[in-house]
Amino acid sequence: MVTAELRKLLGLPTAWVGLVLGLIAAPLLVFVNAPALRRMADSGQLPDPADVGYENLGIGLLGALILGVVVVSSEYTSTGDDSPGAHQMTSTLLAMPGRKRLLAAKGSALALVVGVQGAVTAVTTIVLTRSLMPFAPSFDPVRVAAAVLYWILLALLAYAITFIFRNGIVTLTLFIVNSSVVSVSYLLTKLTPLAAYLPDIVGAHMFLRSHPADETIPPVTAGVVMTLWVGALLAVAAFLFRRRPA
Amino acid sequence: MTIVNAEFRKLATLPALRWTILLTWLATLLVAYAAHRAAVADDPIRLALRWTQAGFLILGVLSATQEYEPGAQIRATLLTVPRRLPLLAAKTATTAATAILAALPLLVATLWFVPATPHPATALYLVAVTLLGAACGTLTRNPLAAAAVSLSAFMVAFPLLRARFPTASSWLPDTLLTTSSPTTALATTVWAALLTAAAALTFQTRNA
Amino acid sequence: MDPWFDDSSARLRLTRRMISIDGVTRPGILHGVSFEARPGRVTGFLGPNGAGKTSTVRILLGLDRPSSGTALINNLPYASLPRPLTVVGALLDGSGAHRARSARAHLRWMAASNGLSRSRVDEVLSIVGLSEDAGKRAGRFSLGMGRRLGLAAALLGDPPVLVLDEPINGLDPAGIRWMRTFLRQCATEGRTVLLSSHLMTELASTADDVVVIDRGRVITRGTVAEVTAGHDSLEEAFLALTATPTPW
Repeated sequence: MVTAELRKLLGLPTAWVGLVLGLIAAPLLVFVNAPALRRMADSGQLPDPADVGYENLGIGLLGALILGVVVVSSEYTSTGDDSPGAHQMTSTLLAMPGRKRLLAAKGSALALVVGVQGAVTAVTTIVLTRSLMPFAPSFDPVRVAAAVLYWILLALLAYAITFIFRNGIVTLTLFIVNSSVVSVSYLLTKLTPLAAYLPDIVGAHMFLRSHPADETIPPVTAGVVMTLWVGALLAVAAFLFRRRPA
Repeated sequence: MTIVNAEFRKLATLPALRWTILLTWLATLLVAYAAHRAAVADDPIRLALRWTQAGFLILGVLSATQEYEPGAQIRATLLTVPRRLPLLAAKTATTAATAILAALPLLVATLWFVPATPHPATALYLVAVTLLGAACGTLTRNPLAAAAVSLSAFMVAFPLLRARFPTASSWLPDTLLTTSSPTTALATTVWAALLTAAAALTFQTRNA
Repeated sequence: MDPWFDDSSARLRLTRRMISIDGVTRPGILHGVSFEARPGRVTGFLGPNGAGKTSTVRILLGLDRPSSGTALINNLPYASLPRPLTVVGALLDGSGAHRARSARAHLRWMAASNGLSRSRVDEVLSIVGLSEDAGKRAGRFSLGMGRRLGLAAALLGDPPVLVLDEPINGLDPAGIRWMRTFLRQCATEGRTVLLSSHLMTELASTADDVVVIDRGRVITRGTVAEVTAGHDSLEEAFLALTATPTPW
């Protein structure tokens, strides 16, 4: 089942857009940011070099996000003009009627693809950063692993939300707006400190060390909270998926 | 005028557009409130729109891509109005008018936060953003692709470019939202006009 | 001299409602397609899958552009018709309605775009038997209901010319019979009906004239009797004429 879902995912042109975007965006950003960062480091204005390189990883998430969206939206795209109600999900359910297992198979395929993509991107980005900026933190397998896990969890989050709304636009808007330079979630921390536990902010604590938000959450706690978010939303998605007609 | 009337009916009977506008209003007010609590800004609505302009982009995208969703409405549209340039002109006019309708309550809401007159540039900006979204929609003919491209541009690419090339930043389409000057207003207008023209050219020449 | 017309004044009168397609070419798809469809007759446009029927119809309706040749209705290209719905009614695959819009809302914007009255919307809904479901979203329509909505849209402007691409696809037997009667009645009223189909038996009982197209070329045209001459049925004639090697 996972193999079938993997084939379906990798057969989509849009999925490849997400894959390529996720792979090249972060390393590209390293080049864009390098001169400014080097100037700051030379003049001693860089307060904390602990996140140099790692902070660029955030943009590659857009790729993981697109993958999380298309894995669902492709199923609900109408197959023809004559039958706006017909979509691939019908064939999928005829081939694999167990809905909970289908949800798990799709999620596993997605996690696998995003995991590989995230690992390649993270390693490339960090190594590239080190070679361009010697003051950057050295390669730390634990932090890289945490970053990859963050990617996988966010992709699964996008997957769950798209499943709930059966519409990719909601997810895309939510996530891209939140991946802007200052995220909305961060603004919301101004309303209540609890907003620091929103999935995207808490997740970043898994691999970043210096935080714009006042709250500091230990990486392991952050990972647990993030996993709980993903688990809860996937449970909602599974519940709705079982209830709804295909 | 009959074409404009028909295009208005189309937009008015599309549930997704009502939801988009409603959610944009709610999100803008919420973020403006948060920003206002954090630091008293000159215009919290304008500040909030840095993020919630996404709603106007989506408004533009959906009003254009409704034609290309399953069911192929574009064919019905071109059968009723086969001359494509007047059709696109009518579409642009109705989309702009809808954007103004969606923007007005937000401008008025500014008064709720601060005793200042709302900035007229904000309305111009929001119309331009909506038209840019619509042009993306017409060019890609796919709501997901258009949303991904336009949102990534406004939320990620432009802010990065602004940081990288500060001198050229007034020529980016979204600088008007942070700095109102004749240059930024002109830049926004030119971007919207250029992209709409590109969409018109594509629409005119391609097979439906 | 065209054998279909022997009276030049009659021809002048008839061209006012005529579909005339002349040398229409699209590289790789159509190679100089020429034929006419006359008022008061149902013209069947017949060909196997992928022969170029839909391409020809789309060019006639201004949706696609030919690389050369002309496709005229009333001696005008579709795009030059001032209120096209009042001249041509067209049915292509799909209803043409956005799935989130109700059938009535869909027909209302179409009527508004051509300055037609709102009461006409309810009229066409009742003609195709959709009055009960007019408030339903088009996305919830069955295939057959979608086709009927498409037909309602084609009839909005009470057009003298009808162009229908595979109209009976997705209709149930009662719907097929209704469509046949309806098209015959349209022809009796003096309308020009162009009906494309790959179903020979259906065309044999509906059409007056037949144009057979294969691999982008018109291979024969004439009345049903003329085309069938020398064969057992229109179907036999069609298979003999096209003789495309098929894998089944």
